[in-house]
Amino acid sequence: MILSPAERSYLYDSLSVQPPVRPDARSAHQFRPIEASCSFLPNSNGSSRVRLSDGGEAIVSVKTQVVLTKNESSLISIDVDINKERDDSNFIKNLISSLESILLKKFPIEKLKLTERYSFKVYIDCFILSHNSYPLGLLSLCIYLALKSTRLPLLTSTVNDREIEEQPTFNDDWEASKKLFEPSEHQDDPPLLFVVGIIGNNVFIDPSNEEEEVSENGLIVGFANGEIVPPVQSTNLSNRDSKGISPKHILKAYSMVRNCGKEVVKALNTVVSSDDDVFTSIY
Amino acid sequence: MEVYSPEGLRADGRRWNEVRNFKCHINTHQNSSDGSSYVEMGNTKVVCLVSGPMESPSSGRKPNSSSNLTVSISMPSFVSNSRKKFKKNDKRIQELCIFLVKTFEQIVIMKNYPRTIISISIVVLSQDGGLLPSCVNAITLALIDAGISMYDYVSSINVGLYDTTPLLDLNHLEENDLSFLTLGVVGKSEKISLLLLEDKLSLDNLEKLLAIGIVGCHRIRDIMDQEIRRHGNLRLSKITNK
Amino acid sequence: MPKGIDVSNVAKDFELESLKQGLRLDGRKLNEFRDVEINIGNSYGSVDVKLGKTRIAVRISAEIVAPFEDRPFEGLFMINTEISPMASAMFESGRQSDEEILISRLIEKAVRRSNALDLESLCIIAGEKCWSIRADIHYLDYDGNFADISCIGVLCALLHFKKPDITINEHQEIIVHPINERVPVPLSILHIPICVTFAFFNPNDVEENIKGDSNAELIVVDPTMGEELLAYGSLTLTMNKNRELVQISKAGGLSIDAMVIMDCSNLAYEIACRITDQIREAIKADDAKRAEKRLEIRL
Repeated sequence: MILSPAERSYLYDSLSVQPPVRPDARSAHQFRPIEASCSFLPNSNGSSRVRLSDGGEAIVSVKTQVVLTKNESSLISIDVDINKERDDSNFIKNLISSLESILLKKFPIEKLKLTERYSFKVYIDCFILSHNSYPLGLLSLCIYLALKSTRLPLLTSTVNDREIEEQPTFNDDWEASKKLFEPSEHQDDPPLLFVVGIIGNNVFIDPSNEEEEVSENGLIVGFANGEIVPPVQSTNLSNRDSKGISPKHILKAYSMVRNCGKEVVKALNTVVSSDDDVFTSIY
Repeated sequence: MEVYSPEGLRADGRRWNEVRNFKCHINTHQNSSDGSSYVEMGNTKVVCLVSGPMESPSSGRKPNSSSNLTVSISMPSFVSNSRKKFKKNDKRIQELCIFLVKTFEQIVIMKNYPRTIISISIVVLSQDGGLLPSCVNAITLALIDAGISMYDYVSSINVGLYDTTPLLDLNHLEENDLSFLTLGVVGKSEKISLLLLEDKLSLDNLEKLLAIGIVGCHRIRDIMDQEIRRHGNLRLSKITNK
Repeated sequence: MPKGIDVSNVAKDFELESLKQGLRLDGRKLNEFRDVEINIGNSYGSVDVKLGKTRIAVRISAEIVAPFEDRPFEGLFMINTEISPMASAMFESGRQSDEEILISRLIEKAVRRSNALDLESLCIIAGEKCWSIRADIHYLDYDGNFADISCIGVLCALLHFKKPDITINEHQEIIVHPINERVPVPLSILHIPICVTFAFFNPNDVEENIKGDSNAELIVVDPTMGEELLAYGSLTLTMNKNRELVQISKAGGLSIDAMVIMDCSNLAYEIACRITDQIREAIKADDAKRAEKRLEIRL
């Protein structure tokens, strides 16, 4: 995005005062409004779609496959595809590595285990239709919703199959399927990643395109089950040189994420519980 | 599961001349495109985004008296039942794009937009048969939403032959088993803009299938027209109420 | 629009006017297919075809490979349709233009997908060894209608090609007999698909075509390069002698009434029958010539 020196100076100055004045009148810990829906892809175990007010839109599908546990190095595979961009660009590789670094560590792998020899392998495929600001936050919310709405078929064959050589069989009735993440077990929710922008002494969450362009630095902060979890990495949100981050920025970011994080999780959980089990039309 | 039972029912409970659940919405992505639409034909779901008319990026090219249309189709790996990654330059997808460009080049009033490009992007969310018809219908709606002048609607459907019975609007399983025609018809006429057959079909059956296909296309056109008018009235009421 | 070849408005108007009067620049009638000239070469599976000034050369080669894992009972068959600038300056080497992709997919659907060549007959040892047949089409000269000539060329070459005879000994090894030792084996061709391309011209303006009721569109069989550049669309029908439509491809272009398409398919059937007979005769003549030569050598 190209900003004139006057625009740049206005944005920078207004975002550096205490409290920061954001161009869309949000407070520092306020997110942009989103539209979210789940479970609309008939071919996937779980799906979700999140759309931001600036037009950015992401669709995530979760598909599972039964595999022999010993043959697989990792039971979770994440792939990101951005509309009209090359598959092997560095931008996409960075997104995937940020997502992998939190999802692979903070995913409750025991839920995927089927029998002694077989497990489910989860394929998380993300597709970004369009994006104006850095899409990591959007993707993370979308992945959370998709995972929470994922249903797995119910196993009907025996769990202990070390002696018996048989392939697992499942109940044909989809009504009998169980959710991967039960709504009651809140201590085991999938993790989230938040993007925080830094200007002067201020930190603000969910930066929009203009805010990113003038920000001096950015932080990606992981959040799971009410606490900050790794990864916490700095990222340059604008195309210009970044300034250093001081420890007090990091602490401010932590406390902001800790406070908003719980609210975000609560909001996302209501989305999941409201449209349950129906392959709805998403528009 | 048999494709067509002796009682006249197909695997999903339809009769031979029943179209799948057809849902369409326009103006679904106001902020990311000039015109957009979302089309569902049964379980095949397709989003179409249109940008244009806009300035041609390679202005060094020689000026031409009419616009340039480009179509690109994205198929993520989760569209079909089994997960499969599609290469970006898959020949079948490129062929579909070329078909769509050639179809709409005749229908869009290109001479109204000289020296510009109109860029159409299709994202397939779910594939259950009838991919080309859904794309054609989605593009028609998105172009109308973008306000790009066109001569008429192009509506499209596929029709297959089971033994001697024609079956309208096939899903994925039926497409794999039967030979089928994909038809694109202009407006309310009987003129065919797009015709595609990829498997063997006896010549004597062609006329029957074309006739039924044209009726099916007219039905789709009526549903699309209804949706456009409903949306138009909605927008009009929002403006006049202010 | 192909790169580099622009047609002047004068030429366009002239062409359209003559078509309205039923005249084509090379003297043919609107529904006349050009004469097909088939030259069969010395080695098996090498064929040169001429369609007016359009020329191609097709070569078939075979080798023994392992079949695909998910199809252990079928052989492999691939057709290479890369067009080089030798045919015309319109084609670039390396990058495939839209026209090339369409021709490539057309031949794929007409010959491969329709199972003209029986792939199961190419299997040698199920799951381990099979024949892989490869057809290379070399486009030598372009004067319109590469689609039809490619189909004729490939079918002709496949009908002519003979693969070396093989025996399998007790150790599951395959012995390939050279052609001079044992008579080679022809391929199993199930049907002969022939493509026929029609080009459309609009004597009135676009509105009349789309909104009007008259069916005044002009349809021309087997367009030359000049006609192809000016046409507003084309329709390719592939048929075989069993009255079966193998594929239909009408990629947009002028909208045509359904009855007109039926007429085109009937015309295409007649042309397909005629060309199929011509191909079979050419193969038979060549077989007779080879038999004579063998007789002469023996005497």
